[in-house]
Amino acid sequence: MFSKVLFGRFVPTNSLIHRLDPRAKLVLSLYFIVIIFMANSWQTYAWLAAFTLGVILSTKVPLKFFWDGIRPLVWIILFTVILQIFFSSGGHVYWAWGILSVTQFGLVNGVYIFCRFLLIICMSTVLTLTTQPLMIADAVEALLKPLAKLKVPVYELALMLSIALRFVPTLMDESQKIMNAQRARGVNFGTGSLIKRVRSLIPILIPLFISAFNRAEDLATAMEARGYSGGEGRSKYRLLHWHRADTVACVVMLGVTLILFELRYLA
Amino acid sequence: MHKMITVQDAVYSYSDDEHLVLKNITFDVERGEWVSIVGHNGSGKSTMAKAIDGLLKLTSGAIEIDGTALAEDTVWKIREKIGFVFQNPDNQFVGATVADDVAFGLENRHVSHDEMVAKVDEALHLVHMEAFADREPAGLSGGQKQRVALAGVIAMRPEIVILDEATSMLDPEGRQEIMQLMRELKQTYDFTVLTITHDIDETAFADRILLIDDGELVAAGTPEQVLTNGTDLVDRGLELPYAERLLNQLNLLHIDVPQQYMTNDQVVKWLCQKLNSSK
Repeated sequence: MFSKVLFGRFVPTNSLIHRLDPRAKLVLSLYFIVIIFMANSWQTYAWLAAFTLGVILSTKVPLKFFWDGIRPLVWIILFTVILQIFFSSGGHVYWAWGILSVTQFGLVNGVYIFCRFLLIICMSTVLTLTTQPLMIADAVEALLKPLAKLKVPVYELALMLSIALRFVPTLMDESQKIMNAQRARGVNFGTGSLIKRVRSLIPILIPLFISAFNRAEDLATAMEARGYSGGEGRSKYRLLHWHRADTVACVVMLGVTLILFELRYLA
Repeated sequence: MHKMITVQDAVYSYSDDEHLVLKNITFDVERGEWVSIVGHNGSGKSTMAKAIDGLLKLTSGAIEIDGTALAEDTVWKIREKIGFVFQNPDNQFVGATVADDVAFGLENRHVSHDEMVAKVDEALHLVHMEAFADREPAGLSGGQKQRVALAGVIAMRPEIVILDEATSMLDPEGRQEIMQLMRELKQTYDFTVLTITHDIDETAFADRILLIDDGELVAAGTPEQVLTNGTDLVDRGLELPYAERLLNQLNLLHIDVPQQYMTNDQVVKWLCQKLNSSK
């Protein structure tokens, strides 16, 4: 049931991309997603696609994992592309029926949207496959730190995030156990009408909820016993190090952007 | 002798309840002593342990740790002296990885990064978990998680270590391992140890045993003193130690057994003597 979750499916191949600082990876992948929207011609899309492919290959992660990232979103992609094709207007009209029409612009837009989806999914998959969730949490904390000045509880948010991540596998294990325990008592999951299926989830959710409360209580006591009295002023065991490779990665991304703009205005 | 823990007339009841969980418990623990609190489930042992660490506020009574009275303004100071290992290995694991978890207490005390790395490495080495430093808790066994919890305690160099049923969720092997490890660490660091358990065999290393039943301290003394009264233990919902059970069975077979309490080793010795003399 949960094995399809891609988040946190870190694949350790120790490639160049793996060793980058998580802050760099997080910022650069978000940045890349933004500049994808700057692309407006086949040359620009080709350039970004080539770059993405290069990044994917350099992670040394088997391509199957990327396909796993795309697969659950195939229907959304198809739906959006078809919508674009049939409802856009402009340019040469190839086919029309009522409000539906296939036009030159529509087709082009459809292809662009398709490329955009693909690139965004691939790039974010690169981030999650090459970075441990824990590292992403650290990066988020580091990037939010300036907000502490605006009275945003950054330390608390970071602690919440890291505890949540730490308990994801534990709670998944537990829900699997509860499911099996309820099955052994005759609860039938995944059959019957929609309402019946939803109702059969209750014997999983309630015990899981209660046990989460017990865990929270235990954890809070254990944290207090170990001297936790608030996030402010704690020292940090895990430090992030910015290496030369990270600066190089930023420069490369800048180069990619410059070439993108070059192609955009050339066309 | 220097008193490490002093408990005076401890009384506790959960706020909405008339029922007293602790009833006038008084005892003290000396520096370097290993004291075991035993009692069946629900007898108030864990409540006592939490009260000592200031995690629960007593309804009445006083607790003194190393000469300092436990109060609202001293509680954090006192917690620095106490290392606490709880029952559930999963629920007390705060860190995302083993090393992070060991470092958690040090982070709370503003220890500098370099010092922290050295202390974490050392503590993991002491519990033989250095190979697991970057592992996540999901990949560890229960015994390994408890060893990590123990490492987290050692890294902070407390003077008192409280094990609150720390082995009750482990298999017999893991249990042995943790208790043996605790004994070695006690010798190295001269901890004062307070273990809380309902498993009599776990009191094997204790200097003194406190027997708690239904919130009352019903017996206190050396293992010989407390465990000789076998029937007393059984009446209070506890099991006899292994050696005692063996001797009782022999007694049923009309074999003369010595009346005083004996440890496993002593029983082995006695059996050898008995067999030799009957030849």
